[in-house]
Amino acid sequence: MKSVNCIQFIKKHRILSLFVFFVILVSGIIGIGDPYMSHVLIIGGIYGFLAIGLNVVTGLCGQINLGMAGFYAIGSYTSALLSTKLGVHFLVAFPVSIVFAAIAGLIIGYPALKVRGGVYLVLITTSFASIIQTILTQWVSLTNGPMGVVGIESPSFFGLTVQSLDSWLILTYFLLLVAMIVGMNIEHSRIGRSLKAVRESDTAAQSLGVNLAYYKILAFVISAAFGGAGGSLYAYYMTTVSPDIYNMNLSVQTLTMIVIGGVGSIPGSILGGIIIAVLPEMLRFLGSLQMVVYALLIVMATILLRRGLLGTGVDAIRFFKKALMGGASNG
Amino acid sequence: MSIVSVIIQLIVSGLAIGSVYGLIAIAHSMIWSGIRVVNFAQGEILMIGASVSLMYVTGEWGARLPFIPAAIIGAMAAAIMGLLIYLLVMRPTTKSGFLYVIGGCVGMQMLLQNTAILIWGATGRPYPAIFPMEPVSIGGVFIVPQDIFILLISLASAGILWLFLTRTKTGTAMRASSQNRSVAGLMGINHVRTDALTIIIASALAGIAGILIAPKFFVTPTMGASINSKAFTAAVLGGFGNIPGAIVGGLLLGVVENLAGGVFTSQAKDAVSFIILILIMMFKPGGLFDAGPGRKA
Repeated sequence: MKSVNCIQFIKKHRILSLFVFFVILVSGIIGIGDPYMSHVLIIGGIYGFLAIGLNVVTGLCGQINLGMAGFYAIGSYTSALLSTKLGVHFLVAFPVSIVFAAIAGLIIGYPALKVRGGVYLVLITTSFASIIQTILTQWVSLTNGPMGVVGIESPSFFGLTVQSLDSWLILTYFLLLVAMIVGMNIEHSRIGRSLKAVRESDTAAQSLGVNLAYYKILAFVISAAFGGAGGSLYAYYMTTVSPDIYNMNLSVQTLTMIVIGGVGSIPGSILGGIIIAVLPEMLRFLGSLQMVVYALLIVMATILLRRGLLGTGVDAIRFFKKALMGGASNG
Repeated sequence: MSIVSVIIQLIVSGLAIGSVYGLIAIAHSMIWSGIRVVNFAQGEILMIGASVSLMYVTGEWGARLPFIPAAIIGAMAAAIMGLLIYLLVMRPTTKSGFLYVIGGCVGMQMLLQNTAILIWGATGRPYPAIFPMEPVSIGGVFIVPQDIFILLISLASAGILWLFLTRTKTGTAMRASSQNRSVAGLMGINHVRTDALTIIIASALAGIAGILIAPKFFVTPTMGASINSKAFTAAVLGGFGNIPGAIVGGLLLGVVENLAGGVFTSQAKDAVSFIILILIMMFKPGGLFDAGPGRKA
């Protein structure tokens, strides 16, 4: 019975329990003190931003978006250029990056309105990401081309510079917690409910007075903003950016994150982000078979996990609870 | 050499590559109109067709075969792979939603690319030229005979497919189930059979496309991805699901892209495809031959 109370407590105080979970996670990793593991988990946390963003547009609104790498790139380059060329502080550059990415989301949301069917949306968002990558590679005078931008200054708050892996872990997971709270509030607000209505049936949603164009574009803007935040953090963490990482693969990986974490589940996004970052490292012992097994696991997860890891876990708990209770009543 | 002859040369080689885009676009259109799914791993099917036939052309897998039997084996390997992807990935995920189809296909893409790296290595392998590569001068215009052969073979494959779809009973059944699936089922058309046949023919076409384009580029595990994205643009250009439109879209894209590459830089060549895609989606989402909403072109 005690475990049931625990679940109820978590349900009631979601944000508090999330905070406790993150504190335990981060302090545990810092305690272990393995620099490589810390690095992988920071990247996983940054992936979490991408996954939350994609979950808003794809999970809540049902619009497929394979252009997250484009928003991520805009966030990264805005921060990188503001920091290196103008010497702007993190506290200014971070929000500006989010705004720039959101504007890109607005621009891509408009043509996405006009197309019918998921295939077209896939094509339009992938070509957006490819165009962004081409611009970053070709506009050498601004972006330094394939060489990338180097020497991005680490953020500092009140004289404390965020440079060590431990401080980056704290910063990343703190911002991720904020992003998650924002994401969950969006999900449970009027916006989230409208987006879900659009996902289920846009005709029905429209007949109930949901402004279809507004919410479809808004979903893209919100998802782009999260992508931009992740991109900005990535640029500051790596201190260098170059166009080659913002490729199709990254957009596809983001899709895999939400499939693994659960489509439409904001806490699941974080789980998905961390798993996608950690899984290849866990399979490293396989040598040349590493990527084959990784791809195989992803395919199997897509086929089998219809509700994501988190959803499947909840289902399993429910199933066992039912089985236990059934057993109790029989006995 | 005058500007006109340069432009003619660019157009001819554009038509050759465009006809290959067209073949893959036909494969996409067939699958979409027949089964209402999209195989995002089509590029890898193409790569497998090219790689397997290369193994027999060079004699690495036992027998050293002439080009035509090797190409048939390659196309068969592509068809089998397509059927496997359909049965193992696309069919089970269709029930969960389009997002899962994409996820599954993309995972499959990664799996096939990495398996190919394990088998054939990551480096590019040259595909021996089947047709003469030396340019022939026709009235001051230099034309590579290989381009003409590629164009002819792709157009012939598309033509044979068209005859099959319009003149045979099986082809008519396939067209019927693509027009109205449930009514076709009521008329006694076996969906399992037409679906499988659609996938097999489409994948074999993709395999042929890979074999045709292989001598122009190197055979690499990742060769399919970029060609496939061009083929998507070609299919959208002709109207997704419209088979004659797909080949026209492919030819058009090939020529425009090649001209852009010749006039501007080679980077412009890749950008053109994306720009065309965005423009067509904004102004004519149903493709070039779309008569308007609610009407069939």
